[in-house]
Amino acid sequence: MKRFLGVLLVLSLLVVLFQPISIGATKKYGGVLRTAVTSDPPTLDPAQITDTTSDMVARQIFDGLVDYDENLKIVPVIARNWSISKDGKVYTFNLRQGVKFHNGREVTAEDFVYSWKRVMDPATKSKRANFMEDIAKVEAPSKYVFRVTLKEPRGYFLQMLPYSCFWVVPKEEVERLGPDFGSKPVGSGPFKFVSWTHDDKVILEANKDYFAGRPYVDRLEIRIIPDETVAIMEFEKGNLDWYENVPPSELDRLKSDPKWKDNIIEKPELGTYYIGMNCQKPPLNNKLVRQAISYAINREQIVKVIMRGSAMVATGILPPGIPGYSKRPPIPYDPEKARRLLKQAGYPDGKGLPTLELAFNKSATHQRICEAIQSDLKKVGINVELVQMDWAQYLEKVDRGETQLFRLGWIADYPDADNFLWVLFNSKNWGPGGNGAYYKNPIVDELTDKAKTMVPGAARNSLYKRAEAIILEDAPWAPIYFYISRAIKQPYVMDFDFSGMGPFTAKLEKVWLDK
Amino acid sequence: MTNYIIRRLLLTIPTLIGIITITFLLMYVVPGDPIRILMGQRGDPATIAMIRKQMGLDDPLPVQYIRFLTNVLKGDFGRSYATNRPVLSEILTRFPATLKLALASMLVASVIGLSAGIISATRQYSFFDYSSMVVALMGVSAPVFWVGLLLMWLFGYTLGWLPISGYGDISYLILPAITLGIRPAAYIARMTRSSFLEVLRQDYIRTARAKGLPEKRVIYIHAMRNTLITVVTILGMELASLLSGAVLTETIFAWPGIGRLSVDAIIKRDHPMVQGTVLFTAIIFIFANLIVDISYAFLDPRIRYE
Repeated sequence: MKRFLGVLLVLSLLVVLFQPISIGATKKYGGVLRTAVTSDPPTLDPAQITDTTSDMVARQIFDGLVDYDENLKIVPVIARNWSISKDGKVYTFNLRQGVKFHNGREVTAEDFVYSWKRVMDPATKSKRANFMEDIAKVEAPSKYVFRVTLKEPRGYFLQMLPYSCFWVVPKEEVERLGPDFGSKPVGSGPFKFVSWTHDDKVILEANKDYFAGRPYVDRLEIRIIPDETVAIMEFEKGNLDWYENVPPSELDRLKSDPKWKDNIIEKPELGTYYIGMNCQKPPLNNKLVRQAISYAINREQIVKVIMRGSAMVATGILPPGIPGYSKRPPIPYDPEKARRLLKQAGYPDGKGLPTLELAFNKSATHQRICEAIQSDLKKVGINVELVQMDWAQYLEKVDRGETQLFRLGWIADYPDADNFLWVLFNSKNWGPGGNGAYYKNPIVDELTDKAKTMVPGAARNSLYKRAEAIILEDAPWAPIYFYISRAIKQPYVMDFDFSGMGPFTAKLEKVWLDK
Repeated sequence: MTNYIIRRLLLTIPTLIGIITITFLLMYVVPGDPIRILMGQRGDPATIAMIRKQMGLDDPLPVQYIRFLTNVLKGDFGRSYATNRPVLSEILTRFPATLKLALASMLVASVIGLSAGIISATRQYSFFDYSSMVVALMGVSAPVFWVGLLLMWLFGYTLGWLPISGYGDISYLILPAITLGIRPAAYIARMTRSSFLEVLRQDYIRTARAKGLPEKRVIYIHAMRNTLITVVTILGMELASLLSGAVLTETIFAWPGIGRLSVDAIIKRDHPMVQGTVLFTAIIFIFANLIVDISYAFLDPRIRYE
C-alpha cells in the first residue's frame, strides 16, 4: 500500500511538474484571428481617438509607457520601470532599449516628448488635449529616460497613461503622412497596419520584431459589421473567432447553449447607467423630490426584464473595480418612502408637481428603460413625459442644462474614482465638462479637489467614500445599473482575456488558435 | 438634341448651387455641434473652443459659406470632421460598392419585374397573373431589413450556400442585390402589367395582329417598345435612388456603400461629409433624369426636344 501511495505521489508530482510545460508547448503560432466591430473606426491616430472601436484597433499597432493587466493593475510596456518624486510631481520613466517602430527605427525618450507635445499642440486639434492639462513639462534627459513634471500632484496620473493619447508615434511618419497618418498608422505595437477598406475591414499583420516576442497569430482581421445580430450569425457560423457586442436579446440563448456557455467571458465594466436630474431646475432643485424619484425606480426589474440580466443593479455611483469602490446595499425600491418624501417636499401624492421631462437619445433599449421609469414614477404620483432625440441634439440639450431628467451612461476613461466623482460631480465641470446634472455641493467640491492631488491609497479612498455618500444622499443621479462587459469566443481561441476597461483592451498578441 | 442636352446641363449649375446653399444652411440650423459630438460624452469646453477656432467654425456664417463654395468650385470638398479624411476620397472609395449593388439589384428588379409584368399582362386573369400580382404586392410591402435578415438566415446561416454578410466576390452580392431588388421588381411588375395591358388595347396592336404578325413579334417588338417608356422612368429613378446609397441593406449586409456614409455623417453632424454626399446624390439624380429624358426620344419617335 505504501509503495502504491509512493508511486501515486511520484505520478502526481510528475503531472503537476510537467503540466505547465506541456501547456506551454502546445501554444501554436499562425492563423488569422477574426473579429468584428460595429462601426468603421473614425481614426487610428492616437492623438485623435475618443472611441473604443478606434482604440481596439489602434492599440494593436501602438504602445505606450504602461498598460493595464487583466486586473487593472498598471504594468510596464515600453517603460521598463519608473519612479515618482516625493512631492508626487515628477515621474521618471526608464525605457526599454531595442523597442522599434514598424519602420525599423528605435523608440527613444525623444519620441515620447514629441508624441505628447503633439497632443498638446493646438494645431493637432486633439480632442484629448485636455488629458495633458496637468503636465507642466516633458523632457528626455537621456536617450532612454523620459521625464514628466506635473503642475500639481495627481493621484491618477499613472492610471491615465494607458489612454491612447499617451501612446508613442514616430515623428518622421507623422510628418510624412500628414493628416493621413490616422488612415495609415505606423506604431511600435505587436501588429503592423496592412490595409483598411472603409466600412468593410481592417487587416493587421504580426510584428515579428515586437520587443516582447512576436504575436502568436499571423494576422488580425477586423470586420465592420454594423448589425450585432448579423455579427452573431457570422460568429456562430465560424466566420468570427471572437466578438464583444453580444446583444442582450441573444445572451440567454448563447449562455444556455453547451457550445458557447463556457466561452462567454464576463467582467464588471467600469461604467454606470443613470438618470441625471438637473439640480438647478425646479422642482428638481429640491433634494426631497430627487430622492423620491430615486426610491420610486424599480432597478431590479429593469435589469431583469429589459437588460435580461446583462447588467448589475447599481448600488452607488462608483462601479465595482474602481479603487475607492465601497460595497453598499442596493438603493431600495421603496414607493412608500418616495410618497413620504414627496409629501415632505410639499407634493402629497404628487399634487402640485408639474409634469417632468425625461429626455433620452434614440435607442430601443433606452426607450424601454425610460418607459419603465415613467411607469414607476407614475405609481407614486410623478408624471413624466418622455422626449427622445438624436445624440447630437441630446448632448447639446444636456450640456446647456435644458433637461430636467435625462438618461446617460458613464464608462471610465481611466480606472480611478476621480474620473467619476470629480469629473461628473465637481461644480467646475457643469455642462459639457461632465456634470450634466448641474450639481453643486461645496463639500463634494472640496473632497474631490483634494483627493485629486493625493497619492493613491487608503486616505485618498476615504475622501472618495465620503464624497460618494454625500452625492448619493443629495441624489443628483438615480444610478440604475452597473455595466458588465462581455465577449464570446470560439472554443479554439486560447488565452483570450481583457481588463475591466472592456474587451477592447484584450491583448490579442497573447491569443493563439488551437486548431 | 445636342442643344437640349447643353441647355439641361447648364440648368444643373444653379440647381447644384441651390442645393449646396440649402444643405450648408440646414447643417448650421440643425442643433448639435460637430466638435462636441467628436469629444464623446464629456467635452472639455476649452478643448472644444480650441478645435472650433482651428477649424474656422467660429467665423461668421457668410465667411464660412464663401470659403466652402470657393473650395467646392476648386474641386476641394474638404476633410471630414470625424475622420479627417478627404470627403471626395471617402465618397469615391465607397462608390464602386454602391454602383455594384445598384446595378445588380436593378438587374434583379428588371428581369423579375419585366418578365412577371409581361406574362401577367399577356395572360390576364390567369393563375399566374393573380399569384404574381399578390407576390408583387408582398414585395412592395415587405420591409427591406426583414427580407434581408430572412434571406441571410436561410441562405447564409442555415443552408450555408452564400456568405452571410460582407464585401467580396460575386457571391457576396447575390443576397443584398435580391433584398434591394425585390421592391423595385414588384413595382416594375405592376407598372409593366398595367402599361402593357393599356398598350395591348391600342389600335396599332390590333392592326399588327390583323396583318398576321406572329404573337411574339406583336408582344416583344410592337407592344414592348411603348411599354418601356413607363418602365424606363421607374428604372431611372430607382437607379438614381440606389446609387445614392441603400442604408438599410448596406447596414444589414455590412456592405461598404454610400448610404451608411451619408447617414453616419448626418448623425455626427459632419458638415463637409453631409455636403459632399448630398451634392453627389444631387448630381446622380440630375444625370439620371437627363438620361431618362433622352432615352424617351429613342424609345418614342414622337418625342423630340428640338
